Amino acid sequence: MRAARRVLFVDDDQDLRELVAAFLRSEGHDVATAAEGREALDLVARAMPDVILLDMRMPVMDGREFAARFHERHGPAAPIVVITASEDARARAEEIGAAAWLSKPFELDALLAAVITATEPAAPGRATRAARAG
Amino acid sequence: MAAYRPMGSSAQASRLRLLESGLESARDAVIVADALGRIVHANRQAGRLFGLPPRELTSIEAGRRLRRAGAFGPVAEPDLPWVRVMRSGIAEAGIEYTVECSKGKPVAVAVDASPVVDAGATVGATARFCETHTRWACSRIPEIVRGFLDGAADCVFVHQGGRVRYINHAGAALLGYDEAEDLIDRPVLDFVHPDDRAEVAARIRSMLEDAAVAVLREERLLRRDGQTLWAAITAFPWVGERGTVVVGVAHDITARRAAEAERDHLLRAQEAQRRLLTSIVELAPVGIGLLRGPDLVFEIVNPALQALAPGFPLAGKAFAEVAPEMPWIRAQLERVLETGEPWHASDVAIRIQRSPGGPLEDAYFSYACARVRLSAQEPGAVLGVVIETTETARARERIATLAEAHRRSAAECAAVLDHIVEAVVAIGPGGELRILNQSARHLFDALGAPTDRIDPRSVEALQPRDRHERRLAYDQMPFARALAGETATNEEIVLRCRDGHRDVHVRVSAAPIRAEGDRVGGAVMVLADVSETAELERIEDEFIHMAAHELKTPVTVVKGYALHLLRSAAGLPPEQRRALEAIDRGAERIDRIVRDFLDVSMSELGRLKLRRDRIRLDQLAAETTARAAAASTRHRIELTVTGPACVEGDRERLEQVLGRLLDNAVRYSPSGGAVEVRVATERGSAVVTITDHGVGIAPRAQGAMFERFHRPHAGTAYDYGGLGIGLYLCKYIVEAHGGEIGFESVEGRGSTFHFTLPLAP
Repeated sequence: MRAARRVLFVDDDQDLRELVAAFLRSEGHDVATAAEGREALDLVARAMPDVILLDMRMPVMDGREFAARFHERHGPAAPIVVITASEDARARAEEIGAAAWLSKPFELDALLAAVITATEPAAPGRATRAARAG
Repeated sequence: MAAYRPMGSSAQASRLRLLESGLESARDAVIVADALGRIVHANRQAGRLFGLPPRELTSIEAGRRLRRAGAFGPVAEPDLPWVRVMRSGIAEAGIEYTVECSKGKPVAVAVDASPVVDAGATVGATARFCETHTRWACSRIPEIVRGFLDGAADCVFVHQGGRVRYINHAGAALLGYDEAEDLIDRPVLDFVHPDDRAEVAARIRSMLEDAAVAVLREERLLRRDGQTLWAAITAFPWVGERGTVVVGVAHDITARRAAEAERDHLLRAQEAQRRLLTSIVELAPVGIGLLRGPDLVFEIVNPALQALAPGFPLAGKAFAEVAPEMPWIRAQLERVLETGEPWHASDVAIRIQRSPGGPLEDAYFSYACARVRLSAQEPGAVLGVVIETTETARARERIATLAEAHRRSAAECAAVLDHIVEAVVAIGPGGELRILNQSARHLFDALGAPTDRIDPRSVEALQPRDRHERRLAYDQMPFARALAGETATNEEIVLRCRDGHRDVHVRVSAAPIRAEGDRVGGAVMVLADVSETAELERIEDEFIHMAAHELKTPVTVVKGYALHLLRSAAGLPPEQRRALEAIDRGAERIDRIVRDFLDVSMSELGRLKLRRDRIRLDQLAAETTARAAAASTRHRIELTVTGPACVEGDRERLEQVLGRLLDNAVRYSPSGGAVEVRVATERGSAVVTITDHGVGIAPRAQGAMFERFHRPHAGTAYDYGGLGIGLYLCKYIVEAHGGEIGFESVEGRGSTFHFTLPLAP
């Protein structure tokens, strides 16, 4: 059993938030969720997670703006893993300085791997991605 | 001369008579005197000289009449020449006297007197009186004749035995020689024209044999310089002391002959010309007639003119009689005759009868008439030329009708073209625009394209692209390919309006217009503005894109829960577990479809972005093959790689291509069937070949293999579902990498798909 990670999952889809939270908790991690950027910024301000899983398209404050504000206020306090339905996930990730990216739809195992990899102290900031046969 | 003595015997008497007759025959007057100085004989000539019968001539009478030159009065007897020489015994010669008779003029004579000595004794004397002018003339005759001949203006010649014996100066000059001497003893025939020599030789011969009288002939002579000259020659044989010679006189008639030849030539030429003109008139396909005034009687009628009045001979008839129904033409002819002004008329409509008793027909004629007369005194004649122009006139009418029909059909065509919704354009070989219908004008105006010609610059300005937003070069444009002989059907092209703000989508078909000899003489192009359809399609693609996008999160949720539940809830009843597994598989399929939709919509929208990484295509093929082999253990998948193949491109997309092609190969192969993958390089390209031995593709389905939503196995036993977009995407991706894709397939035997990619530099 690896060490528990504090994961913040930011996505506007409630079902997905609940699924990811249930799955990661079942894997022994602490999970907080937020529906959009502003809410996430509040949560981060109260307790800094080990990794932030960030959707890009959200109402109120989208992923891009959140990333900008987050880095502005906290610097590289926690790696961000971009989770997007967009086709150019990698470009988005690079754009906002994310550590890794995950394309929707994703496999739960890939999500878990991304969480572990992004928080691995040996390779911080190393980009990973969900490999998936087309 | 024998001494005179009286003759006793008859022998002597006859001898004497002989001597007397000898004296008589002498040309000069001769006197014979005896020893006493008495005249014993005088010949007739002496009688005539002294104006007395010879018998009456005595020395006294003779003395009376003789005058010594330079002395006055008669000569005394002792001074008579015949007396004096008898006395002196010395002959005298050439003593000049004058004989004065009562009648006639004095005659100057020269007297030769000689004593006659017989046995040492002077027995008498003789005197010969020679009229001095006769003697002079006689002695000068050959010289005079010669001078006369030498100086004659005409040529005089003598030849004998075929050689020239004499020729005068004029003759030498005629033959081109400076000296007559040069011709003497030359063969006569040398101076005769070579062609005539045999004939002339024969004629000379016969003239000599027949002793013919003078003959006048015209002969061709040969001059020293080789020129021919004509001479009129009079020749005759003359019998002389030394045989027969031919004497001739020649007169140069070269100029006359030349003039005659010239005249003959002119006459012949005139005759030939006359015959030519006659035959022209006879053969001319136009009617030619000469109408003699004042009544305009047909004098010359050629067959073509006569043919206009069959069965009615025109010659000798007056115009009024021939054509009473055409008084106005007669009036024109009379005017020509009167004024001399020519008359022309074209396409005069006349009703004629083409055969005797035949129907009257409308015909057209053209006329040209002019006056012909030799002097102002005669009435003259009218020369008329008439040609039937019925055919021409009819042809002209037909042409006018056709032109009208053509104009009408052109107008109809234009109207039809203008009411066609599509733009129709005809292009000349140089890009010039020959036809533009209304729609084409509107389209070109909307695009801001010139309507006179298409050239690379104006095309470039429109930024032509295909529907995937890929730029098209000038020679990829349908019309350019049509001008190169190709046919293009329903190709979609995107053009940017000149104002730069709006794209126009046109669907273009173009085909070459074949001129003579299969040469391309232009192209016709039909364009439909499909911007609205394209926009609708774009909205549709956009919608699909959005929808697919929106599906991603719920698919993630469904798949995630299914897996999460399967993992976390141990001891799940088997039917619930199977249900969860089915949910997972269903979600997986939805995911796949969503991805396909996204790929298609993105390619259609031109949003499929490709990375440009350096990729080992051989290794990528090996990885993909290994994965496929792992997924499908029932098939033998063999990989052959000839060497490293480096390309530049999007790894994920190329993997997609390989994966889809392999997937197809496996899907349509029987269990245990072999699939061969081969990666090679040739001519700057990497070539990937994937061969199966499966069901193959029906020929009728092969045409549209790479089109969107094409499903060649739809409705067959091998219909394994799918949207029919796999190969479409493969083609799109390969071509977006600058490669080409193709296949060969035999139904029931299998297929080979292959694609190339440019090798990385």
